[in-house]
Amino acid sequence: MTTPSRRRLMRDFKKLQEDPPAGVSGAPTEDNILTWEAIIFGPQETPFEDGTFKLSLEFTEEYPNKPPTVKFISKMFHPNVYADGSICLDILQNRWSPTYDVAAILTSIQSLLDEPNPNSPANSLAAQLYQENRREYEKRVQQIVEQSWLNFGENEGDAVLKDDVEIEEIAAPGANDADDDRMDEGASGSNA
Amino acid sequence: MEQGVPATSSEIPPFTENITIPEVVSETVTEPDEDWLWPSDPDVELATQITMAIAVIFIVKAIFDAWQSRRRQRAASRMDENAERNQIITQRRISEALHQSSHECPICLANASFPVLTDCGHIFCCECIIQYWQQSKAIVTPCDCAMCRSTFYMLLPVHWPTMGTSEETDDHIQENNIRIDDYNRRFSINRPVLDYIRDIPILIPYLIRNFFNNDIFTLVYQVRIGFVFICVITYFLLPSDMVPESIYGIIGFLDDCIIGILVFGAMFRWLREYMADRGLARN
Repeated sequence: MTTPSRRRLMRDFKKLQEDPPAGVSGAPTEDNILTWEAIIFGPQETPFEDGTFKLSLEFTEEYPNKPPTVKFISKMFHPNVYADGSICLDILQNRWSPTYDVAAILTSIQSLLDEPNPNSPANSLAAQLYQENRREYEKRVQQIVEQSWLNFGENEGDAVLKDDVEIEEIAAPGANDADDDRMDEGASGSNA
Repeated sequence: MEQGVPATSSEIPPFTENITIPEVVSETVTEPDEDWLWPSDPDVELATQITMAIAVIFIVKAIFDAWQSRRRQRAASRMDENAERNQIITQRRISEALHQSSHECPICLANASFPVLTDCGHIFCCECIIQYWQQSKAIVTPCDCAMCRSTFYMLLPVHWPTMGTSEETDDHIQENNIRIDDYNRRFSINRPVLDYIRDIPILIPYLIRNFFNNDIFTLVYQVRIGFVFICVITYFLLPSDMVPESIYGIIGFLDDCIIGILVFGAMFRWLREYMADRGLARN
């Protein structure tokens, strides 16, 4: 049975495949179109550079009139991300608009990484370090960036993620652009 | 001897002054009154009074508007600049929207089926925007535009299919008509007068393009609007009307303009109420 929310999600996915924004990718899980997995690459020239962060998006039948629930699965150290991975972002809450699609959501989260709002902290330690001890903050961010690589290794047994791991290993010596291209190809391959 | 001389000289000047002043004053007061303020012809007198009354009403309204605009400017001077810019953008958007033959709904990302135009100039599927309103706001609260977040009070159908194509299409048309009539009936009437003025840029092109669309306006309504329009044109062209141009020139033309503004204002109000009342007739 196709409902407006599922039809909208299929159009989001098609749009994401045809015109992928730089540094993000996502796809619904095979058994449920209302559950998506996405990957965000840390913006370049930021402490999050080279990080590959995995997220989950849970949509409801009310989408696009209601925002999805987005969480980081990878470990994240950021003033606006809770310990459980929930994201404190206005467009996912009171400032939501049904004109936002999955690509817009992921791009907004990616830009949030290097532009936190310390005035509404979800992680008080990160907010404090961000304002008072930037060097220590960047050190902690670097740690979770390295952990994001390990997390892919830890899931080596997962058939779905195996391709990502292989591509990640191959792409490691290459340039950042090459990383993006290969990761997109990997996502397309796994979905085909 | 010395006291006698001052007494004599002081008596003469007062008499001279008293005699001169009254005559001059009485002359200046009497003649101008007769010439300017009390014309002899009763018809001309009546016409003059009517024109002056209309002018007074117009001036009072202008003063009130100016006072209100000043008050708003003090409250938000920057908002005023932004409002001007937004108005220009909105008018351009409305013009473009009415020209295009098909539109994409930004909510479902597909070609808009039964597209509706908001008074901020954005177009959505009728079903999409109504669902968004029902899920995001209480029924008694008007909806914010999904594109620009401004509150909209009016939904106008744009390029809908024609009745009679097929039974299924007719059912969809009727269903969507009920939806927008419900919204318009709740929020489109009982609004400040200034909001009516703000709606003119959207209602004029809409009325021009859709006037002969029988699916939107019934024949009775077309006749009604056409009749009013013809009356206004006739009133402008006639040399002899309530305040004829042939006698009073500029004042007569000003009177025509005032009448025209009032009638067009009423026409737009009728259009709004008509869109709102269609739902009542259907229910």
